[in-house]
Amino acid sequence: MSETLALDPPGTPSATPSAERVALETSPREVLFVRFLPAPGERVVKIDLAFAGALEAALERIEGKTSARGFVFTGPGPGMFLAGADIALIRDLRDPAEAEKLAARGQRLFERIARLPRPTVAAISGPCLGGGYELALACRWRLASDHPKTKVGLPEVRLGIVPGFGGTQRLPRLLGLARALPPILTGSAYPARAAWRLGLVDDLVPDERLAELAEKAALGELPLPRRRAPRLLDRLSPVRFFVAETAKRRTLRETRGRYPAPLRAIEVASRGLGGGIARGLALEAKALAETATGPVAKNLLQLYFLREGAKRFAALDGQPLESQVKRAAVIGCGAMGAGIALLLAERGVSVRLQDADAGAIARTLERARRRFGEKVARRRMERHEAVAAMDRLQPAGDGSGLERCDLVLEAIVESLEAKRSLFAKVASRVPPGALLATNTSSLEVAAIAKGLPRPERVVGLHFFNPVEKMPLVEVVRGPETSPESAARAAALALEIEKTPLAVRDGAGFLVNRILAPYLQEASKLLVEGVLERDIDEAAVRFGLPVGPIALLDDVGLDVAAAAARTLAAAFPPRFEPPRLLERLLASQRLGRKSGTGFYRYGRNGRRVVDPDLPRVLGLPARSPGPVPQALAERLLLASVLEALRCVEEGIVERAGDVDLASVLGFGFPPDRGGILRSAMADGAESLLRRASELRARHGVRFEPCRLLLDLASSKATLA
Amino acid sequence: MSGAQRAAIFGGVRTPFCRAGTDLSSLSASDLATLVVRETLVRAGLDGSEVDEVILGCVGPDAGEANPARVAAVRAGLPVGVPAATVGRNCASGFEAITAASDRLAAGRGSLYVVGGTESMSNYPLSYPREFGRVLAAAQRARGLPAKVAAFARLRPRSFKPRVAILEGLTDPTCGLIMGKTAELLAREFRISREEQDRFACESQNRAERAREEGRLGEEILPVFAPEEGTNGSPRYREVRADNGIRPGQTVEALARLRPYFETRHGTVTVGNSSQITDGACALLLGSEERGRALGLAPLGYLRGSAYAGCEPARMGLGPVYATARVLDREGLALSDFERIEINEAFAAQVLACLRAFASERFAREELGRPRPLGEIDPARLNGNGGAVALGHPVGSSGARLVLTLLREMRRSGSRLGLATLCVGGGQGGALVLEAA
Repeated sequence: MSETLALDPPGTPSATPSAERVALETSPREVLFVRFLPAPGERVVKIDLAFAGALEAALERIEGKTSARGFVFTGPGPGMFLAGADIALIRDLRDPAEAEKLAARGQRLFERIARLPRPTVAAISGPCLGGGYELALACRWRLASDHPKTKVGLPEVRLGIVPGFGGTQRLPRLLGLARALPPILTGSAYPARAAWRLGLVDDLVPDERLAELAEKAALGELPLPRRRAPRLLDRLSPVRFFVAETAKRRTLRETRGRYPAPLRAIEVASRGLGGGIARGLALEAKALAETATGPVAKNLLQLYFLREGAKRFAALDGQPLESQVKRAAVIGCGAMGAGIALLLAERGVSVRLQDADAGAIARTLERARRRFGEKVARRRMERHEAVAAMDRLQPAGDGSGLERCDLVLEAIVESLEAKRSLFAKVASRVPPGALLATNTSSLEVAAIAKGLPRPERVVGLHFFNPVEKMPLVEVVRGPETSPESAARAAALALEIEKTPLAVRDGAGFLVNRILAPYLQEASKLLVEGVLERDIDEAAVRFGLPVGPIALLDDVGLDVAAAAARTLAAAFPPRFEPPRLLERLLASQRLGRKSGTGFYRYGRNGRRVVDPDLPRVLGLPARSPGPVPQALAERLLLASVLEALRCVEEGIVERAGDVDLASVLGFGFPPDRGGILRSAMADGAESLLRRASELRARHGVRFEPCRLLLDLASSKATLA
Repeated sequence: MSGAQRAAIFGGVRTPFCRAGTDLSSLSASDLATLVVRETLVRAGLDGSEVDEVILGCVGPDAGEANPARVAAVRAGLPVGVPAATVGRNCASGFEAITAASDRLAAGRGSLYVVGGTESMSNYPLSYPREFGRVLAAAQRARGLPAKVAAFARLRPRSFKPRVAILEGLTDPTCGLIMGKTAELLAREFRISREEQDRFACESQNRAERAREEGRLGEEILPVFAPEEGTNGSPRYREVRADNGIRPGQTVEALARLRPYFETRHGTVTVGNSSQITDGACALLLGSEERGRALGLAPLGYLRGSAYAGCEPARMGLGPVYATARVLDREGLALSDFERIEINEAFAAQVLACLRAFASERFAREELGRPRPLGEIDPARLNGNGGAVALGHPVGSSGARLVLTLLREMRRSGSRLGLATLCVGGGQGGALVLEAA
């Protein structure tokens, strides 16, 4: 032992300065444990420059030391491995050459691990993502523990970049190209069991025995499945070509060609297999440099930080807090209430279900059972967990159980009268600390809270339809809402895996207010004689998931009309009463749910053009003509201007929040980084010019707001 | 038992009682129990940590839930540290849960219990003969294909004949009689005519119908959302609000048309004048008065005393008479002290036999060793909301339902004392004396 080790006894972090981020310990059986440590004050270990330096120094010391019989790379404790590269590092990359150098540095580092003269084992408990998994891939073996925080994967493409520390090269060499591509292209973070089934790790072990079994693996005492290398097949370039082409076609279909990173990943993974790993790594570094400095990655990274930043809403005086909601009552089990209830139940909250209509409660249970059943079938949930989640959904038609609820969430009809009398009844029965949340989309929280005892506990929690899928929740602070209530409501949103967005009270809050001008503009275009198909296609070409007319049908014309009426009353004349929608509603067209709206819907849910539409709308018959230029720009510009107004009025704290909301709540294409970022890409002056042109042609709804004028004359900046 | 530590009953709730194979058939015994245990706590404003133990009666738990009380307690959200026991005394299992808790209370082991019973007779298991199990075990142990084949070769067609738990469970292994036959025996012994039985059954139905219409049953029922059976994976849910064994507008004439079920030629017991095979659960909150005060709970009534007594298995239907005699002696009461009485209606013939035995001097002398009969029971005081003939008899939960119904009836009528008693397959009776709060 003595010749190798100026190293430290087991269990104590090394005292040498270079090892602040990496500790070395030898076990009594002379296996060297390389332990990653988090930066001071951090709760996860990230690969930043200090970490890279520390790891380089550590490798310096252990390379060529022959008395170590094996090496185990592991995290500082249960649930902590290596969560990936520091994303701020990537965000700040501007120069492709510099980016390439950074990738090469990481690659060299991991290549040194791959070349260590004794068996290497990654002992994974906790997140093992991106660069963390690429390090694990450089080891001979990977053992993942069953710790609930264990997640394995290469999420890089989700941030618009390719894996850059050897992931695109080592994973195909480990699994073969065909099996390696899906994890790279989806960017999924797999739980330990799934990672093991997919071959991303070699064994799944009990968390408590991870160190012991990793040591055994390093000593060759753990029987691990020998992998039959599929490399032979991958050496044949026609096979590679076929696999790569198939993956490319599929990716193009799914990303509509908007995202370069997955395509580059396919390319470097496939071409890298054609030669030695050195050549492959060089290709990969170039691809990283290109994608990381490109506009899509910059936009996606920005959104990542905005989303992370939204966690601040769940904090009070800078201290993160929890919602403290264990028991809730959901009153009104329609589409929204039901969806919210089942998400709460899934996350361990008991939910008393109240609705005057027993059928609504029954449908809530059916919907929950379907969802949990699917989760069990896809092994995302254990059967007993599904039973427990169903047990948490507790029909309480008589209103019993309110006395112990920490949260009452109402999702009843959008009537101020009804909501106020409901809260008045509830307020005296719930414990004093209970949150009273309203899912209203069109009423003001202030009006609902007015006159209630302790109005500071009333908060808006505006979910979007369908609740299970839409990732955003607007947390609405009325004038009397206490900061604590708002923070707890935001924490609740985070706990059910939604992104909270704190908005100030006011008609339409944020999302509906920026969505409505776009929908209104679509109606205007219809009236001008543009075909609904052309309008929708223009929006989809721009990158939106569905066009505005189709979206109206999906949302439901009654719901859309209610929101539009509120806005028309609050902000005339920019917002006008929804005349077209009223006409459709008058002929019982509610959108997709009633089978007809602007479009007609077949039994299979397919959307088809309705030749009868002009007559119902009272418009002259139309014929397909030339599609007007710049349709998408006109559709969105009114929304951009409204978004700027929201910033100006302080509906949101930061302009970035609007971008985040536009992507999560509105479906604005993430690769464009958000509605304001996209609109301001060419500068405020250009935006002002375009707005002024449209103002001249189409009227007051394109009136530039004060903020835009100031921005254009550089008297203000967007926060 | 009377005195300082009488057990208070703070309230309770039951599921609708539904004929086996109907509205509640997709729910297991623990599914049903989960609902009532949870609701009992919710209505008392408790979160479960206050409870010392959950004790439920259940006669036929599903193979997958050996201790349904524990399954229900955990699923209902009680802290895992709260223990739970499933107890059995056949038809008196619900009573057994109540008396077990009150005994623990009296012994100072705890002060608050969730008690009750649950039964899903729809889900009584079918099992294979023992022989089949032995063959499977042998095949599993056998090494090599030939040995395995040889093991299976021992199977005979009869090895596959299923054993129906509900039939076997309703047959007494000590006297070899199915329960309906014991009722036939009592009908012969006490000379109870078919017509008398049908009149009694009809009255039970009519009273239950009235009680349902007047909302008296609704007060004790927790509506249940039950998934419909047979829709794989994503069933439809239906709200079940009411007992479904009640036959509106039941007449003696209609009952008279039914064929005897157990003795087809000369019998008198029909499905119409017997209790029904039913799914249902009932839970009560039971504890010391002191604890109730501390938690702000208002008692619905008190358990003053209880007794069980054995009798001839073939005459199990007379169990209430033996048990009542014993509890009257213990508490120093007379039958005439009770303003409300619930006798579980296993069979109309059996209840009528009890009424005759209560009133019979000969029975008192020869069977109970007392000089005078126990007394007459005024039919107006008996089973005011109908009984198991109309509502059904989910074996493990009936005892708890009798107590819940009786306490509510006592409160409504301002009665001071009530008696709940039932007969037990295997030859026993149980009797509880309840006091108004």
